[in-house]
Amino acid sequence: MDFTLSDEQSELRRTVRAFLVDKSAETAVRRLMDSDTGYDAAVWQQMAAQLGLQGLAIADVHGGAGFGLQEQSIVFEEMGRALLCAPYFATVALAAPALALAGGQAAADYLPGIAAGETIATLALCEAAGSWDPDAVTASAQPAGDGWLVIGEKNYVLDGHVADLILVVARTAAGVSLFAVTGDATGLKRELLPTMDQTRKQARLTFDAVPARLVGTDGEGATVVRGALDVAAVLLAAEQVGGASACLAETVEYAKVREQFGRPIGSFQGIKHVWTELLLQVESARAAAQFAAWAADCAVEELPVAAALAKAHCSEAYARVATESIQLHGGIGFTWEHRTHLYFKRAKSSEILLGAPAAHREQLVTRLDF
Amino acid sequence: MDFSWTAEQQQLRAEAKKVAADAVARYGWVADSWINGYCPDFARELAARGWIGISWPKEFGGAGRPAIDRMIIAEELIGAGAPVGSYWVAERQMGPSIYTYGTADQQQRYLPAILAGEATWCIGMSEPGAGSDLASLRTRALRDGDEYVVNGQKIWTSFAAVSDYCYLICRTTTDGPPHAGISELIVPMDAPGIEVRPIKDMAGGAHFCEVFFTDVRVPASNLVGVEGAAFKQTMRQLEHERGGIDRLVSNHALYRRALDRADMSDPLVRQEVATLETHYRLGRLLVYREALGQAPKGFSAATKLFCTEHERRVADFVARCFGPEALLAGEVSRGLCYANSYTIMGGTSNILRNIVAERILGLPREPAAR
Repeated sequence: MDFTLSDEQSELRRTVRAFLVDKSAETAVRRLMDSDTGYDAAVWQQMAAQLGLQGLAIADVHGGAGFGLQEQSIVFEEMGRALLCAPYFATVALAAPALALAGGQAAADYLPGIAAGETIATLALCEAAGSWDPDAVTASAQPAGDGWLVIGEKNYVLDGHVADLILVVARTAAGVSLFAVTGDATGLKRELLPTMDQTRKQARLTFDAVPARLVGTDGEGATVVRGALDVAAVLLAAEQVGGASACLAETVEYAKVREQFGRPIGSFQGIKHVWTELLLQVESARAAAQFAAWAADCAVEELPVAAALAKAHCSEAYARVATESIQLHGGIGFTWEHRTHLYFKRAKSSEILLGAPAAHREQLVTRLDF
Repeated sequence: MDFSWTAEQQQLRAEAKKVAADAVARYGWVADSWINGYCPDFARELAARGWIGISWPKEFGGAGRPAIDRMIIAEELIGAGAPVGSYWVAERQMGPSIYTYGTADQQQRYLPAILAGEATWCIGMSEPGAGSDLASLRTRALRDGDEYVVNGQKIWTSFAAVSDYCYLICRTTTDGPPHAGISELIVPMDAPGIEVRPIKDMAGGAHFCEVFFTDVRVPASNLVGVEGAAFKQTMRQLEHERGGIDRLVSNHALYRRALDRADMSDPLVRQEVATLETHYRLGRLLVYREALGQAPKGFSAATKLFCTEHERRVADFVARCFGPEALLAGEVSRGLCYANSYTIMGGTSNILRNIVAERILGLPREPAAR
């Protein structure tokens, strides 16, 4: 039992934080929010070339650095703090784990491009109904020559408009399976969807008999996707902890300097008590996310419970902190100009992404065998 | 970061589980056993195993094992409802205070009996006019030659009726600001002039008492630490009191029994169990972090707040699971009533929220009353 980071992990945090202070300041975030692609291609390249961030947790045989989810979580926590606008979550938290879990030649072919920062990738799972359950998928795939053809519509696909590689969950005669489709495939229509949280873009993808390659084993896609969703939940939880910590720290600093009734508003117990509760939320969320990342690396039998727990708890922690931050700021917190709404929107979008807290709590009790 | 247990720790936990089960079989189980489970026979058995003072330094008769070992044992014993009350306060707080601040003579005189499970101690802290505002306490011990003469009244003093000694927080000078002039004194409970009146609590128990001191003469050599400068010592003891596992698992034995009765087909119950399991697991991590000395300085107030609010929710859940049975006098209804004390003793939740806000978040103090 040890809660301290290794020297190497602390160094990673410092490096990533310094990079993001430079590359993801509020002005950059706002510029990218307004862009169609939603990310800065030069920064994306630097992330890969200078820091190796895309390949951090990809196995070294596939061109990555072979670190675990604990290191990967540190990166996500820092990105959450900085509200980085990039297709990093879709690529690194969804697509790469799905490829790694599916294994085989597809993983060997695609993961090196992701690690090198050359391939933006995503997972196309949700459909119009908005379910994250792979068994609810209705899109289909049929064999055609050496490959397959995918037919159907995917919705709420993170960074689907810019992805070079789209991992589509579709149904075959054998069951739910995973397919790789390239971003420029014929028959693929991509529509950028206007999002509340402009720091994380989404697209609707229509597949009209799009050529595809089977990833993993036909009919075994649901297991792969569920495994990838657990990894994604752990990494999203880390990102939420980062966002919640930054939002909490900024808001508390404001409470120390904003005066009303002749005293700093932070001296009122009505403020103190709320923000102490929020500190507990954030600190316990940090423990939840750290434990889940450790479980993924070192005690994988504990991962299913830990991932569901972390996603539910960290989601609510971030959403509460961001909501109360606006409340504490008053009128200025409700403006477009102030940055508080950026946290709020990221918090709410992350809370619902991968399934809302109640769904993860249900997963938690199910996985505890209740 | 490492959330695993060593082989020795796993073995210790397995042994503690067995000892707890055996104690429960012979002495019965009781919720809140560190307060309500008074059983000197069991204390002597634990002492024979070397489990009392297991984390005290070897030079003071302990086993010098890490604090986390003590916590593993405590978690299993209290979690099962084994009666640890007779030695609990002495082992948790008084021993560490005496070996940290006491004289060599005091260490020789008092520590062996605590380690043998033979001594029960109480802490004379709260007064009718000094609850949360401890610095305003008025019980005084005025020097008269080689003795102090104690006059005053303590209240909510747990175990006073069965204690051998009272660790008395009192005022040795009435000059100066409230925080100055506070001292700590060991008072034998059989000294003439002490009157103990048990107070019936709302759960029907009588562990806590009023204690009246009338011209009680105590040798000056019973002073612990520096005369008039004990406020910091006292605050440090509260840190010991606040960060422990006893403040998380008081009613865990009740919870385990309630789970057998819970209607797990009800989605609302499933959500509630998920939340309780979440807070239990995260509370454990916060407590372990305290035991390892890896929590932020002063965080034990926050840990206590998090954990005891959880215990209170557990009591509520337990009562609902038992349904009409919870309306009868018994362990369930007693637990429901008793839970109101969790967020009072050792610092009320609202006071702890002030403390955390000021010490951890750095929010400004309340302006002084005019």
